Amino acid sequence: MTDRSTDTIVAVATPEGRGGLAVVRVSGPRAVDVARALLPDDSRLAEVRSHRVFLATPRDGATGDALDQVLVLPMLAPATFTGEDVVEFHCHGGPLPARLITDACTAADARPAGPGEFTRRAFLNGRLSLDQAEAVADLIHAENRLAARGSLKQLRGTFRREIASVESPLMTLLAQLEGGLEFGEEDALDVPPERIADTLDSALDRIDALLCHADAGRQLRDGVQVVLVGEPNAGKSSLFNALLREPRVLVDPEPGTTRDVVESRLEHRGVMYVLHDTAGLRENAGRVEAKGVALTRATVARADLVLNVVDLAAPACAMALPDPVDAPVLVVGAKADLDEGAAWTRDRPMAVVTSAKDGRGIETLKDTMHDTVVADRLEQTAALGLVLNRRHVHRLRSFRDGLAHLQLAVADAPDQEVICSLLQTSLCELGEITGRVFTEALLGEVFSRFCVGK
Amino acid sequence: MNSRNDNESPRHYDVIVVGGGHAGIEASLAAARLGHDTALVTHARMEIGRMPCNPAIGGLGKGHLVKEIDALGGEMGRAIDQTGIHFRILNRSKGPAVQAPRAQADKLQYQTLMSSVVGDQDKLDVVEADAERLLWEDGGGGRRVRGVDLGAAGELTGERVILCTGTFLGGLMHVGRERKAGGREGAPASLGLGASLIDAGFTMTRLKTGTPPRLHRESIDYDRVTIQPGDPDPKPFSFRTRNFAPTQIRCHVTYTNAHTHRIIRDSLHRSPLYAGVIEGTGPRYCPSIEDKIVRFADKDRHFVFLEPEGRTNEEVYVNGLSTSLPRDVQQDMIHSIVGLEEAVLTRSGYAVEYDSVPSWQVTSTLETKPVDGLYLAGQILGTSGYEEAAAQGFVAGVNTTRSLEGRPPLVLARTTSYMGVLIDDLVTKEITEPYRMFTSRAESRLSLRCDNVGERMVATAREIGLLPEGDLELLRDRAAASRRAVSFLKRTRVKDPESGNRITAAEMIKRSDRQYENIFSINTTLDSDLDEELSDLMTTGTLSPADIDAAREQACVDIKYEGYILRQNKMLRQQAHLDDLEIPADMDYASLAALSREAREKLSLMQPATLGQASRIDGVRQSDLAALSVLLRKLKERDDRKRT
Repeated sequence: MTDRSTDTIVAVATPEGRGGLAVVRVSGPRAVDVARALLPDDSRLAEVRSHRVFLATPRDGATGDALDQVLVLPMLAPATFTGEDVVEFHCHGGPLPARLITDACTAADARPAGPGEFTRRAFLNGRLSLDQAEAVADLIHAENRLAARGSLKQLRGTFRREIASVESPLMTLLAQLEGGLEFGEEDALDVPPERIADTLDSALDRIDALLCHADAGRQLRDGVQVVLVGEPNAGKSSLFNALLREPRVLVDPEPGTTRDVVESRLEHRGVMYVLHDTAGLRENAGRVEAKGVALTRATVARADLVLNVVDLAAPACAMALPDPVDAPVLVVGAKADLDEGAAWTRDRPMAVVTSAKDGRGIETLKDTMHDTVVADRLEQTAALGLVLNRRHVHRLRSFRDGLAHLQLAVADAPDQEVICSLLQTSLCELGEITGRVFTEALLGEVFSRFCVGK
Repeated sequence: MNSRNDNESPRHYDVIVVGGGHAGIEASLAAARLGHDTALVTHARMEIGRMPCNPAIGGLGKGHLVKEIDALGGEMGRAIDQTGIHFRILNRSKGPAVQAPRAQADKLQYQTLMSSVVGDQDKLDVVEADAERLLWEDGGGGRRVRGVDLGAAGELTGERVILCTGTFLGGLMHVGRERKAGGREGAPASLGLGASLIDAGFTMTRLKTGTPPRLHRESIDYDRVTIQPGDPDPKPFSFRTRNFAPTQIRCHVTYTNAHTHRIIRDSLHRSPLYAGVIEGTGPRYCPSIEDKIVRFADKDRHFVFLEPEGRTNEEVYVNGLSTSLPRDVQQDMIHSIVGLEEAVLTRSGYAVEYDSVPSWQVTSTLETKPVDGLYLAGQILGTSGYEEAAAQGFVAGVNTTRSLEGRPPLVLARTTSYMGVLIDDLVTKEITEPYRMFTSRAESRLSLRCDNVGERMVATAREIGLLPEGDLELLRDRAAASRRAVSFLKRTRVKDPESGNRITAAEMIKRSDRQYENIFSINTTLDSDLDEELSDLMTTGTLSPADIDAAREQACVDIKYEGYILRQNKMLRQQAHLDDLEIPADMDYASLAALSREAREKLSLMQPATLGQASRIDGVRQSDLAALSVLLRKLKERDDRKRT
């Protein structure tokens, strides 16, 4: 009986349809055999030199047709990502070459990997701690360079060190309290209440600072949510298309054309933005459109940045937002090419004046977006490696709540064993981040987040 | 001695218990009382229940253990109630979960009482002899215990054997550079038994403990030391003790000083501990005085408790001065202490090294893994303390009978008793110093209190069947009384003196400090209504007014702690789920490549019975547990498939 996986798995390890390179990864005891099947008679696979890359042209086993020219990287256990023998084929980008190589591997008896299977194997082989495994998950989800930088840092344990710096003074306090309980009869070991309060205060400060990065971390991971709002026919969809440089949304001079929220991704200066085009905000709208307006409100509530699009050609437009908005709002003038509202803008604060037609102001708008939401904050978070995922944030919040609850309780001067109990419960939340406290539920949560290929 | 005096011809027993200390007493009484022919092998009948170190029972964690043993039908609590001379509840200024009783015993009376309880017990024979060798036989797919070899007294055979040999295995006593073989002062060491355990396939380790000097009680200047009286309203350990009104005698406190410390520092080179003569590891929580001086150099004084060893006994135990320094240094150091200037040493302190069997070699029934039918309990498993020993003796005793009857074993949960914490720690921890119970070892500390011990243990007590029906009824009625008091206090409204609003009594209790009685004295109708509520339990006669008071107190604590306990249990729930995932006994960890090397070694060694136990083994990582859980799931799927 052994858990060393007897079968060998294969999958494309790079995101589909992106970049100039696709990596097909094979892992398992037969990884090298699979490679040999694709490259029969290749002397460099006769005796594998681990972690040495070489150029080769794999051929279809049945027809003998060349599949692609690839870089082959064999890596022998245990010093590999999964802890098993691994062979990677780095082939040309686009979906076809990767699929051909994968099919050839499957023909050579490799099994297509299930979701998260590579990482699961790495984890089971003791190659990753739980938080490292999650950092890898985030690496996969990371859709831009900044987030990638953050995830790599976390893998190296910056995050764990931050957690430890919160944890260790509390552990010391807990130990002192326990000492007072166990040996207090024999000696005056009691911890003065001020000490307890001070330690909690400073832990709360630290955790708050850490949580500050949570929002920024989320933006790094999922992209900065930018929502375009404005009166019907203000030119939101045209601006949306201009920002993306592609006609993603149906544009029509008829007001109320966009009824759904349409989203698309935009990368600018290393940051991922998710643009949301919304239905125009109009009071007496039709039933279908009214639903669209409700959806707009919900989208705005989750925004990191709101672009309030104003039609410069229709200066009578009010610049009213549906509800007070937490996110920063940029007022963007649209249809500057019509130029009728030029005089009007002089009286109104306008962040950027744009024209979807002649491209005026579009790049300026992107830079303004960057300056408004990104600036130093995301850079800092990425540099610190504090790309917190949802589980981290959830645990940190529970931990924080626990500490805050304890802080209140301490004010009532409860029995010290109660303080110990509350402190232990809170510290357990931290343990769940670093994987110190094991629960199957936690693992399920972690592994459900891995996509095929890692 | 080596003579058999209860039976002329050798007999075959169901259960043989070796050792008449605190573990051996509970083990042999439990087995005999549950109806099995039992022999207790001890080198001297009158030494049964001897307290070779501190003549005290209870304390934090330990007092909890005694009350649990008592609620299950064990003997220790009743014995200390009858022979105690000084009773205190420790940590009175702290919360109810960390309060526990402690008592000084009249050590001779305690011994005499225990000797007669054991001697008078039906189905229990005392065999005065030295167990020189363990007997076993191989076959039938395993190694099975057969009995013990009593040397000149011949072989004693039995179905089950429980070894409770304390510090006797390879015992070596140190006073300065003098060494003497022996399990304790005045008693010979047992050498052959340890060797036969190694033959049987056990791994042994060396531990160390120590004891302080004793002083003549008349030689102490009591005017110069502080009196430490017993509690004015002493509380018994046992729920079965009635009309408890012991006559108490005083203990005293004094301190070491700079002069004492200098004497010790100047003589460190003569200490066997610091000269490297002692190999065994001593307990960090009970350091010798030389250890305290070295490790806590900034402290300018240490407590010295003067505890009489009995009402008439002329010796006083000097708690806090455990030492293995030479006798002349012990004398100087004693004389440097205020009140002890003229004190006469009746006995020197000494360190004792002994062999123990690392406890990963037993399962949670306390049966050993290498030899079927052999059980271990007490210091032989690396624990320290009479209470820890008694708890294990009790569990081993009950489990021998369970296994003889082919019934499922008694396994207590960590979340409901300190006994459960103790046994679980033994099977999952590598013990490197003598193990002592602490309340902080219990994750469920807020629920494991002395005040609710009856409620916690009543179901198990009934299942074990050691308690007479009347006592079980008492436990059950007390638990019912406190539960009814809780619901009464939750639904009854009283006037809040601060706001003038009517709030429930429970809300009032949650807000108050621990002076619950104030709530009842302010609200006299609440007091009488609660009595009315519980009146039927009183009239049926099982519960005394003191029982009702205790139930009321417990109800208040239950209410006060309710919210905190909910939080505590939420955290523990997921762990409890792991404790339900059993690992097959024949698990071959060596072939599991998914495990880290350290985990493979530790798991192969410890052979945990559940994933919960595995999770508590030091060195087993998250990834190892993940791998194990996946494997267990696979195994289960395979078994399920086989079955269909």
